[in-house]
Amino acid sequence: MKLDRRDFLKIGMVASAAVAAPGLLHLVARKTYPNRTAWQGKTVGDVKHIPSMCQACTTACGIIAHVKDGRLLTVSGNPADPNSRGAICAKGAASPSILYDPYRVLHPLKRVGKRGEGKWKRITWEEAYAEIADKLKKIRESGHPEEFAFQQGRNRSADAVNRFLDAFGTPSHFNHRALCSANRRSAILSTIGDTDWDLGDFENTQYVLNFGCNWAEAHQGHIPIATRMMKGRERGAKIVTFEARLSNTAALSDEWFCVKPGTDGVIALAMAHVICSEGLWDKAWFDTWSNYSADDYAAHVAQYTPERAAAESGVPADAIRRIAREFAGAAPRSTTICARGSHAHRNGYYNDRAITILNALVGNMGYVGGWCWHPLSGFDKKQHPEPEPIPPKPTAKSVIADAKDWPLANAYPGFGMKVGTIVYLWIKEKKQKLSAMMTYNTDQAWSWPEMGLVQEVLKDETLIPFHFCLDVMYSETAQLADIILPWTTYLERWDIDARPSLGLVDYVGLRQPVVKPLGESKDIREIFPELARRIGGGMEKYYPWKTTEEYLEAYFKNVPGGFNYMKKHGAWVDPKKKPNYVPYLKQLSSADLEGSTTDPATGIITKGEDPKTKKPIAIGIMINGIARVGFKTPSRKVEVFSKFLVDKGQSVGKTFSPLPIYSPIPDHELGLTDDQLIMISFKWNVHNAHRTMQSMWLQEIQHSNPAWVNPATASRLGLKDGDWVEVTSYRPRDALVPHGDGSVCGTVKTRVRLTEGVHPQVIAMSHNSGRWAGGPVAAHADEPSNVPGFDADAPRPSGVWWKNALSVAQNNLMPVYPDPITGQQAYHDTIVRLRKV
Amino acid sequence: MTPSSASERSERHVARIDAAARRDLYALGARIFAVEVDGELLRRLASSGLAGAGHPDGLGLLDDDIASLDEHDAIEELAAEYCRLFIGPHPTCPPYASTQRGEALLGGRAGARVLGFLERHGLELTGCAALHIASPDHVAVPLAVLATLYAEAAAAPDETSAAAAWSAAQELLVQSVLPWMPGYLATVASSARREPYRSVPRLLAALLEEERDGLAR
Repeated sequence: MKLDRRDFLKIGMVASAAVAAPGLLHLVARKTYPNRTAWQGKTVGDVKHIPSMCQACTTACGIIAHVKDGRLLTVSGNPADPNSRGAICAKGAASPSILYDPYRVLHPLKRVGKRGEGKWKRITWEEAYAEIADKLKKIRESGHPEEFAFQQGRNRSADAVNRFLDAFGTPSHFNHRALCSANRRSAILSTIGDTDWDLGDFENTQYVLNFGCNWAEAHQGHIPIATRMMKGRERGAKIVTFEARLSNTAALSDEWFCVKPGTDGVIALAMAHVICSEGLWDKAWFDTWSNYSADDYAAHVAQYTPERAAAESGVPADAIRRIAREFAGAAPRSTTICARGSHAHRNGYYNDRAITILNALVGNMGYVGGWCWHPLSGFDKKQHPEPEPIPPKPTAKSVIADAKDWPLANAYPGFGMKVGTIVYLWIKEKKQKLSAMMTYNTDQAWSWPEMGLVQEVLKDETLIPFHFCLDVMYSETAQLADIILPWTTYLERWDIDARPSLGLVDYVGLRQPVVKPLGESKDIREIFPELARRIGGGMEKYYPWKTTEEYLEAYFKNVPGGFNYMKKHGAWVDPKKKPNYVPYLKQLSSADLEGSTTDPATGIITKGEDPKTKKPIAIGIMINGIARVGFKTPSRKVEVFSKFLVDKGQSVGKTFSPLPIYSPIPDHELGLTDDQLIMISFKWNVHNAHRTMQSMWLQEIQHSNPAWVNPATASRLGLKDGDWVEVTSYRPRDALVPHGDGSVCGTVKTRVRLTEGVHPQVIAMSHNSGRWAGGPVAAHADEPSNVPGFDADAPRPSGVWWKNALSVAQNNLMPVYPDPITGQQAYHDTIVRLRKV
Repeated sequence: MTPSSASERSERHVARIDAAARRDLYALGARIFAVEVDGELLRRLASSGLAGAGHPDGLGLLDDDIASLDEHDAIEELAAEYCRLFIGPHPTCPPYASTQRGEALLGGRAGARVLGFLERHGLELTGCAALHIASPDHVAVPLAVLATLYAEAAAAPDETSAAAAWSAAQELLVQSVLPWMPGYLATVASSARREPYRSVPRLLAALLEEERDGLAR
């Protein structure tokens, strides 16, 4: 088109008419104050250094945001944070790329096409609030508040979420616990009672036995653990890792043993056998502090010889003996670690019980350099109580959230042990009616096992009539919403937060906005009070604060210097608190003992009565004539023998072993054919679920996931490096698993990467790939695949030089596979068949 | 002061008209990119005499089928197209210079460049927050700045003021518009499924071509 002057004038007149109306456009104005000479070509203003907390992953490291003229420049670690101590990972350093992601969802959107069609229009917050509040109000007033479900992913605003859901009255609060750490938490809780989370004293240890935990890349306590682990290593600690894949953690270890998946438990039990049979144990400690005698335990583990473990796991018997001796020899400065490794199996609960009890056998529990813990998984809620008024817990019931088929799911009040694995299967099976769902910071349509099933459910308006989603970026789940709300990043919002402290002293931290929220993004701390006021019916009374700052001022009132101190420093540790070493040895005071009763048979000291159960409250145990706190189990000792598990199992008609045992994976026990492999899953150090995948900086580092296959296996199957293969997965053949019929679960096409760094019977496929709706950086791959909805023609940002990289969604292959005890997803047990294509 | 000749007065008159025409085209562009079409703009487009595909000048600020819809449906359809092109999720034509110029961060150097220009020339952004424009490198911002500068040129009380406004516009064009916007406008015009998101980018591209020619002269 070439315009001449006549054209300009003519079109200009039209344009003039089109934009002449007042209020149509006032983007730019002449300044009313003169400063034309002040600007010298560089941005003026000082750099502010604002302490806060990261949430690029789940670790919540302390950060300092360096901000100039309202724009975040860089992020570094906050030395005042007692957990991360000034260190951050690549994800934290990449925070600007998450905050300033050009493809962030910055406005409320409402679908104008069919659900999942991807046709949207921008709406105002007022419109969004009105529609959501109207729907929720109707549900609440119907008398069935449980029909409003809340699906969360990583939630670091638990106070805000719980307040809203409790005020609403819904118990349908779905989390991802069973997709993460349920087995391990249950194993620890039922063994020591004090906590569901162990914190090895890695900095002071001399020996670490690692059962498949990828702490250098993807642990919940990533940086705090990794930095301490390396400090310990500098001081001479030895790290031994058992893992089916040569992870970066394995590479950082002194020894790596490539084990067959699902055999961690038998290795630990064989080590227990060596320790018992060779008298390497701390028999006195075990006999004093466990509810099962050392001799009886020795008899129990006698069946697990190193030779048997070697036959099962592939770890040489001599190595098992040697490592058991080394581990015991280093005690009490020796410890284990195992999160997301040994526990993410069908037999994970038993595995982690066996591993935990290894520590009891050598008497390292609670000692400097040993296997330690802290009773608090975050900040001290007694010291920093949630500001009143607090809504009561819902009285309505949720069949899905309170799933009863798994005896240790929901068995520990307050620990959130829900079976997220089966949420969408049960919605599909109509076990609970839902009228609305809110998705918060998760992408279950991509990150859940059998993601096709999740998509099917989310797309079905008869199963979920109304679905709204709050997230920073678009996702496969947001695509299946009716309304998408733009969420602030962790750099634009408030939280009171803390994680299990590797320093063994609890602390409290503040996440604060370091820049103004971009676009129209808002946080739940602003959204929920507004919805509560609109829904009404008493909900609004739980939000008396005018601002989040006012609320947090009340929350931090017991910190010396209060909220202002927190804003200035980002974290606070009570100087009066000491590291939680050997807490069970603490002696009860005379005041503690006043009015108490001691059971002569067990030595258990009780005082008062639980108002709910009417049972006496145990406060300690008499050991050798001294009243000590002991462990928080029913026996006040380490429960090597768990009657709790047996009783819970019987309550649902299932029989479980009170002692840790090796329970082979049923499918693995049946043997594998030549073309069958065990599929394992893993995460990369620069990614965390869906949240980091739209970061250009992080994707540039890691953006592809060919399947790792051992060269010997490849040779047998006639595969060369880079060959295309078709991978077909199967549901477990397991009567204790829903739909455990061995049927085909899914099929994907991918390429193989041949490496000695994986077990010959294993195919390792990473998570963090295979997106198709998560923004053009996350959904970058162009190679053909059978990922549903994949749009190979969608435009990609110009900087994505890796756009042709292979990227396959592993969750197409991952069956819904809950452990029969806790409901924990068995991530590393699925049988797949490989075929060259 | 020497009285200007009739020819000089005529030249100034033509320049004012020219500046006004540019002002209005850039303002239309800024308006179209900044926010969805609302009822008022829809009616103005419909009554502009440039609606309809069969327009003899090859321009059509509104599609025939949109013009035939009731206002609510027409606005919703255009809002969906605006969303698809500029808002997302996964917008086809992200409206930020930083993105178009391959920067990983929204705003980035492109945004700083626009802010620097505004600071040097005594201008400020007043409407970005209200319109929820996340960064000053949004395509609507330089268009609005150009509209403002040409408005000043058209209404300048003297030659010096007019020349300053023209000069500032040229600086912005060279620094923050011509390096990326013609290509972007072409992308929008070819990606758009609805008017005015085809025609207005084409008009603006043609105007920028004229600007480039002018700068070369």
